[in-house]
Amino acid sequence: MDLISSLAMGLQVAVTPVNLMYCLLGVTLGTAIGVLPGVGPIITISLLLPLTFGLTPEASIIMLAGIFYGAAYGGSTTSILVNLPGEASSAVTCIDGHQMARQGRAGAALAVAALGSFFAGTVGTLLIALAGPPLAGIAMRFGAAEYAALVFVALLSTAAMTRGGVIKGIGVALLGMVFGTAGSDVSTGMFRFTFGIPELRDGVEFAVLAVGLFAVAEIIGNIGEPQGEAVASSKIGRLWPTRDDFRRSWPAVLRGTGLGSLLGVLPGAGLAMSSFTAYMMEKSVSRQPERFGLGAVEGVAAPEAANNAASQTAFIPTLLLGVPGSPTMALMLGAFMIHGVQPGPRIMGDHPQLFWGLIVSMWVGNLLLVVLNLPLIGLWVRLLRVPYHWLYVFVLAFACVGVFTLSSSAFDIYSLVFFGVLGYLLKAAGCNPALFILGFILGPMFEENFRRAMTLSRGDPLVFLERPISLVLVLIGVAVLLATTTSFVRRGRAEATD
Amino acid sequence: MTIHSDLLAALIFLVFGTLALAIGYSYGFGTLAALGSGAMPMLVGAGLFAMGLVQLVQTSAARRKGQQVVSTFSRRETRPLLFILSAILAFGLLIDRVGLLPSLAALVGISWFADESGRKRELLGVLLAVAALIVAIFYLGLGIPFRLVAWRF
Repeated sequence: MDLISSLAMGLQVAVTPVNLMYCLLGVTLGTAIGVLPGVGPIITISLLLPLTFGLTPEASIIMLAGIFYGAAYGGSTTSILVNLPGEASSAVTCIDGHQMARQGRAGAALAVAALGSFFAGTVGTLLIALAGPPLAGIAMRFGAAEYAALVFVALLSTAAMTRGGVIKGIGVALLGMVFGTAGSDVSTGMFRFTFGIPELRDGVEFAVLAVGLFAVAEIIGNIGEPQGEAVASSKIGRLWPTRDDFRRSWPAVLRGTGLGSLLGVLPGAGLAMSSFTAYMMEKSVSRQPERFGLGAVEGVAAPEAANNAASQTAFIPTLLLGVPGSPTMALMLGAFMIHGVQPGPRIMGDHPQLFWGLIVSMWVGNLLLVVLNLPLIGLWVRLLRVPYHWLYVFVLAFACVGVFTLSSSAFDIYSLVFFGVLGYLLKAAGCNPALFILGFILGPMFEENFRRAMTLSRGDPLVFLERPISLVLVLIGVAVLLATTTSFVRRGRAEATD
Repeated sequence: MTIHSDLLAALIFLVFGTLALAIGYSYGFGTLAALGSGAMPMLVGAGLFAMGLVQLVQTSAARRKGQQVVSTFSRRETRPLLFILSAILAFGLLIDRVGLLPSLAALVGISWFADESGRKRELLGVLLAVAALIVAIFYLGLGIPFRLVAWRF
């Protein structure tokens, strides 16, 4: 069968010693980073972007993907052991996971989390492989108008779903789009927003922007922040879950996987939302909802499965449509483009090695995580005790040297200062800088397709409403916007009358 | 007047929206059938400006109702902001002139004081550790041809 031969080819790419090593490096780094408080996957991926320039596209994408889902694992480890979620997506695991740890059942909780995640990861990987070819077939029929509409919907719904309000969300995404237009215009060759600086002719360097907005701004915000006291709770206990645990968790894992797979594909939903929704769903279907919060194993199994499934299926829109559904995925998309790979429906035909290699490597990476994570728990707990004032100095040095290696130009370092200040201001203004990245990546894509669609329709803007696929997409975008703004207005009114 | 977070957002949107509109205008909008280089910056800039206005109206409405306004800039962040940014700036100014190691020393030496809890005794140890790790990763590991120490003014 075609699928099997494709997966076999992917396996060949994924298990070459070099790629296996980068996969291992990625998941280990990812776990370590998920454990460290204040250093998330977005920062790490942006910090490591400059380092991947010298690698083959396969190796670097495999490593970056490993960081992405490894971080989800690391976050759950600290949630369970010390009640400190390393990632937002594992915050909900704290509720029952840490209770289990306090009852001396940390081992079982960790094992359930790891096994549930592995199962969810396997399903997610299979889903990408299965959904890939038919979805790419549909996407092949997309014209410029459909693409412009798709990007519009992705941006709008992500902006609308992010915390901090619709206005700020849309505003900061638009701001990212403004920065995305800098550099030479693809259609006319005119230099825009370059202010006579030769370094800006190719546009704003993506890696510099990401490091400045996330790493630098994050360090400034985190310094002096009181650090959570890391106290490893009691004993880890026996690692293998009991029969009762298995009986209770497997349906929870199945439900979590289903929910997570679905939410992962949607733009704007993301990992945190999938794990939270899975927990709520588990609680509502349970016959004994009162056990939740007191160490119910389902409360660990479902959200962990959900966020891992979502982290896999999030690759579907990113890889096959070229439209990332979340800021972290936008960063991954940036990494692809740095290596001259344009994700989209053609990726399977143009870069089969990369596509199938990445898919199989994600499964291999999940396996590595199960094998690695459980024995290394002691090490991860010790990592929690690194004081932040040592950590940030290293992160900063790494950021500066990494950025400098991009083109050996001091201009990139000065840009780093600029984007550090911008990131700090955006955070102070309550705007999510991750949306800026999304706008920056999607902006040029939108412009190109929008202009082409307008030219093809001889200047008739109604083209976006006349073509069925694009009409549906635009309607979805408007519906999402209306839903969020009206609830926003309602909330505002409720607050006013209180 | 205290600048709180909603007002700051409005200001950022208005400033960048105006800039994008004004500069985009000079690139030319073109026609609807052949959008010029300035079309996108102008459209996006207009959207940004609109968001800024809406945010401003919301903010002043909230203020008129006598909502408590808290400044978004906390005094606690001034020190890290200044030290971290000057550390990066120093690195950028030095890297082409004196080579990697002295620039790293400046970076670590300045950024160390962003946090008050760092003891001076630890500084040397952290500096050596950072320098060793960076040289191992970038110079030895990735083989990037840095001048470790140079003297060019």
